[in-house]
Amino acid sequence: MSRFSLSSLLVVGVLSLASACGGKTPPAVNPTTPPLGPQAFPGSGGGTTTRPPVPQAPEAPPVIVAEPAVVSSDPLASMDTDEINRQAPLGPVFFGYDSDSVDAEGQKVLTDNAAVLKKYPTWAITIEGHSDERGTAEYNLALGERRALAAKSYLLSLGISADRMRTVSYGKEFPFDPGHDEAAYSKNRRGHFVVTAK
Amino acid sequence: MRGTFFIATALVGTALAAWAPPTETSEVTSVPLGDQQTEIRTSIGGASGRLPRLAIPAFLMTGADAELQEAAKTLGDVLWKDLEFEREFQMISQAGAAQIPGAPAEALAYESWNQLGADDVLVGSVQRAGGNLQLDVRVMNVERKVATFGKRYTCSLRGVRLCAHTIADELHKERFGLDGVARTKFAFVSDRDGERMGGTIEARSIKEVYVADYDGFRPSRVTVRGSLNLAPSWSPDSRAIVYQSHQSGFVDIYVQKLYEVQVQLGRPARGTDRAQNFLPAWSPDGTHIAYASSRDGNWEIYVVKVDGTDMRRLTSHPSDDSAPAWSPNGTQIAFTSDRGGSNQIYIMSADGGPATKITSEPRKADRPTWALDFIAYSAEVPGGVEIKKVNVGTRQVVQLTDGPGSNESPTVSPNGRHIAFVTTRWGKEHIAVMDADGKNVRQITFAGNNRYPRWSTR
Repeated sequence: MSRFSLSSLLVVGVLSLASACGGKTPPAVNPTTPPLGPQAFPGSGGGTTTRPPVPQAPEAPPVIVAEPAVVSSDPLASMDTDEINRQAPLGPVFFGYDSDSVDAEGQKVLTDNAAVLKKYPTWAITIEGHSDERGTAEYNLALGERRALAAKSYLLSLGISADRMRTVSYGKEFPFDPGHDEAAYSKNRRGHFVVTAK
Repeated sequence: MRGTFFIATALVGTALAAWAPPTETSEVTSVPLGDQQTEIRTSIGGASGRLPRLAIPAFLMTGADAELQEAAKTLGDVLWKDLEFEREFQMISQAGAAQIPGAPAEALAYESWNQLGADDVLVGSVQRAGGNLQLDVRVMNVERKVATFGKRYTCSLRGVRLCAHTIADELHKERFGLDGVARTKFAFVSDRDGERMGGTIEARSIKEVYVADYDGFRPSRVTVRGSLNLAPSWSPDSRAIVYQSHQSGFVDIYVQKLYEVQVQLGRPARGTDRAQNFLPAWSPDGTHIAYASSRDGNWEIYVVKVDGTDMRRLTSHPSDDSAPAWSPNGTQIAFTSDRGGSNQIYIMSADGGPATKITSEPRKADRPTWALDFIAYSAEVPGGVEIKKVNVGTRQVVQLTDGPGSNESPTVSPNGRHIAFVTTRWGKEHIAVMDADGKNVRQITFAGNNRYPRWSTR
């Protein structure tokens, strides 16, 4: 058994889980979009083991089947989740130093995010809690979780269903800005939204 | 019992490369040479008040092929560093020892060694024996011209470093009654392979668990999860680890045997959206895992049997409780709590019940690790984090690091004499080792970013 196949199995498991969370929505099939190739993951040269094999594109042009859920005028509706996430339709909510409270600015972001989630009622999301590098790694795991839960609670209060939202804390392990100053720290103290199913 | 054991990381490396049974089991065996004068082992050496001065001349070789020469050099170098590490000997530099022509023990130039200031000379010889190496090692007392240590070792060519570590441990034990740490290991978390995490559009490097010798050599990756994996902790026999993994999308706790033919995983604490599980610690008797979980709404301390049964909650407080660490005898647990307004270290019975605060840091204390009579921990200070230790009986606090960079996540060697930690003083996050009094800081990782060191239990 190679490392590749083990990882692939695990990823398949995760993807199955993710699609299960998407409810009864049919798989997003958009014949005009080419199958995902390696170019869809820029910079992923060393990490190719974490993706299952990509099916080959059919030789003949596929028959286009009418998909009532796909509205051609809405680009987000026709994208897969990676493409959606690249558009960042759900803005990040930022936190103060060592704080897990959602301030006025954060509430505005979350209100906008709630509107997006209501427009796309099949989307499921993961809310990631992140911290800056100050303080211990262990403490920041707890802080990151509190931040993710704070964002989730606010979205709940705006009517977003709990079963569409997961949370995870990454502590200080995945900074968005690798710098060591407040400009970087302020970007890294965040609740980050990832669309995981549509 | 002490004579035969596996080369642990060699097996890890093999298993990782192919997920297949290791094909080679290298062993080190030793037998006494019978000519050492054991009755004087602890009374000889330097004059009172100073350490005995030990010289290690280059190992003598029977045969001179390149492989044997390389092995002989490695043996001398590793043994020198191992013996220097515990500071029971004052080591004479290898360059100094090289001034005196090599000679077998029975023809040692005692007068020359005496002039160099040596109290003891470790004379080693190495030759091929079948596919293995055979080493004779004697420690000669310069004043009395007798052997005070003499053993014959058989080891494989691949196991040269382990062979040297074994000699160091056995010499420390025989001479000083000391349990050395030359054969202990570290588990730690690193992004050194630069592999990118899947399922995210952000450029995130996965972090996997690695195991290395106590000196940082022979690092082997032991997890292949393609995700974020943190906080490894050793089983008491040091043949398995427990760690937290974010692979499933939740935070699970896994146990993994390191040296089995097939990778064996257990999951004593399974994550769900309402139960994320963090920072596991294996109990000293091997039966339980303590960990922090948010399963009841906020972080509390739990214990569960290694097989995942009989989970019990130990703390119950609206503040977060985190980072459990067992006392050496397993009857108490130290942990972090902000129930008093800021994170401090508390201790409680391993069955739960009332907790006693034992630190009063102006900012925060975190990540206790309990060894002998003290608890080492990370303390937030202006500008970063530093390592401190508190005596559990007297509550006296000693600060062990004072920059540069941030210094956190202490872990104590099994003999209590050394502390490893994470430091940013060299730019990236690296693991360093210092003596338990904060002296003699050495860097032991050099690739990637490295966090969550845990010293093996044996």
